[in-house]
Amino acid sequence: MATARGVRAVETTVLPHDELRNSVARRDRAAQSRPNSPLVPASIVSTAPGRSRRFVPVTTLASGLPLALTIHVLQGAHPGPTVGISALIHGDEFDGWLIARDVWERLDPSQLHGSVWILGVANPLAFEGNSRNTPIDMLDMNRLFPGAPDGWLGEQQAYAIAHGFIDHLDYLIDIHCGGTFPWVDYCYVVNDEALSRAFGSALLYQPATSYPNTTATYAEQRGVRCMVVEIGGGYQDQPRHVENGVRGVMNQLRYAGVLDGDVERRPGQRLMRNMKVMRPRHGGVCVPRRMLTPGEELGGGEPLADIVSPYTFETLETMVTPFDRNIVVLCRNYRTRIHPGDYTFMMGDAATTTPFDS
Amino acid sequence: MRSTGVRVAALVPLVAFVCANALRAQGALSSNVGGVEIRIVVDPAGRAEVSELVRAGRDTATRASSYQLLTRPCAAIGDISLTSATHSALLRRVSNDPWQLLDDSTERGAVHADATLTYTVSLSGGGRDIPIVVPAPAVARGTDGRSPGVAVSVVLPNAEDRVTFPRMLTTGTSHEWRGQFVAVPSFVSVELSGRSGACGDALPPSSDGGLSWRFWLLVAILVVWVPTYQWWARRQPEGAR
Repeated sequence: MATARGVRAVETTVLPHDELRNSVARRDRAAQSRPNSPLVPASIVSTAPGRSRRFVPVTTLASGLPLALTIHVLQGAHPGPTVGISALIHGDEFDGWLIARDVWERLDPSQLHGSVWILGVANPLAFEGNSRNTPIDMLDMNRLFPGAPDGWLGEQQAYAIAHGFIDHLDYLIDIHCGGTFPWVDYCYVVNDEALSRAFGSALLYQPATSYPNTTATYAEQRGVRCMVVEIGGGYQDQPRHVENGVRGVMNQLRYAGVLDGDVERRPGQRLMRNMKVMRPRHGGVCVPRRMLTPGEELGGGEPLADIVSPYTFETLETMVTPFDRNIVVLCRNYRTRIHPGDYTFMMGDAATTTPFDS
Repeated sequence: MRSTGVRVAALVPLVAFVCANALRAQGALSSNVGGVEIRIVVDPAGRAEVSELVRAGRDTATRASSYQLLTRPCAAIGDISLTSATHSALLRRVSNDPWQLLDDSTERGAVHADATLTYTVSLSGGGRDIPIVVPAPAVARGTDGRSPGVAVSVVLPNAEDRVTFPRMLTTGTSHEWRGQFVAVPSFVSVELSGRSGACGDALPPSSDGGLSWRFWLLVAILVVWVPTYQWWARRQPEGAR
């Protein structure tokens, strides 16, 4: 099965617009035409095993070029659940794509129970522009779900992902990272703690209230087990993060029953309940005081970085740790341009953090 | 020989500790809800009777306080009652918008058996989403570890009515739609014939939103106020002006 990257033969399908826009109604009509058929969710209907590629159309750009999403499908030889893996919903979070590609390469359809759908580039224009937000409307697509077929471009893309991808899943693994500059390593607990733990991050986060209108909230509300992982970014230690990410996804596939084998359990995992996103009031140049590593513990009031004016060379503000005991969740280790309100650091409150196995 | 026995005896607590930790880790990764069966019966007026059977998991008890509910527009949710073989209670709701956390007000929340939740949802205006109470713990999957553990059934009043929600398919009989999930969805959407419009169109078509009665109230106030003011103004002596 193993071949050189990019030369593997795959079956390609283009889903027409109608398929997307009326997907629910069409499926229902089809079901009504054969009312006595056994009630089996589409996801566990076994089709021919193998690799295929589907294109979900979004719209036509002003350039005249079509905008579509590419979904890679690994259809297993045995029945089982459908697991979706998405990456690059924020266009500058590149490490997720590296993980998704390696997962695609390493999985063998003949060994799978169910199927794996990989949406490697969830936001093509943002990826092209190396931007968190979609360049044409500058909206954060991961705050727009379930989207709208007649809304902003980001809403149209979200609509396509919601109905052309998430609606067909039993599990969703949404991979994020720190973006161009920040470095991060943790994952969210959404509606299945064990699924999140199976990824193997040392630090897990379950907020009291989650961000609204994300892939995770859309999936959760529709009975899909989901988790969001944040791993890598800042071009730091990419090979290690990708290897950890692939191992984590493979372990989650074992948890979901798509792969045979025991679920690997990482000892010492901690659950964090409170976290502070630290954003500077001023833009300029971010000058970290020292190199940090996600998971590292820091004391209270410790200076993390200075925000310096590029024009007067004066320090506009100094960012300090917000809690008495802090856990580094996201950090910037290099001297970079920074905007006011940018992600600069994320610090977990160690006082609200508990080990799972205590 | 004796020293070997002492060594073995010394190892027993260590082995027991390791086994206990392994079992605890296993428990932490397992579910404490064995399965969920949801049945929703909708009448033509948009009133839905919801019944949820939450099966207790094999490891620990299902706690009544471990439920949550996502509020939806134009869907009024009545009292939520929990019944089991050992316990019966109304669940108290604590708002955490848009979610509500559900708590057992009798403080006897531990339910060591299957529990049934029942409640009524009344859709108003163009409301289409029927909220479903969601147990906070993950639901166990089938014995093969793969198949879905949540079954949802929706019975609609008419043949032309539809359920518009992923994975919900019509059975073709009794206007019933069914779906299976690996997690509990927080709502299902229905399209009922004869009920249309946006959710904000909650008022009946004949209503003007209270404009008429507010107008006539204003007229009544003026009818009383203007003559009263004129009378009061005339009774003032000239010199006082």
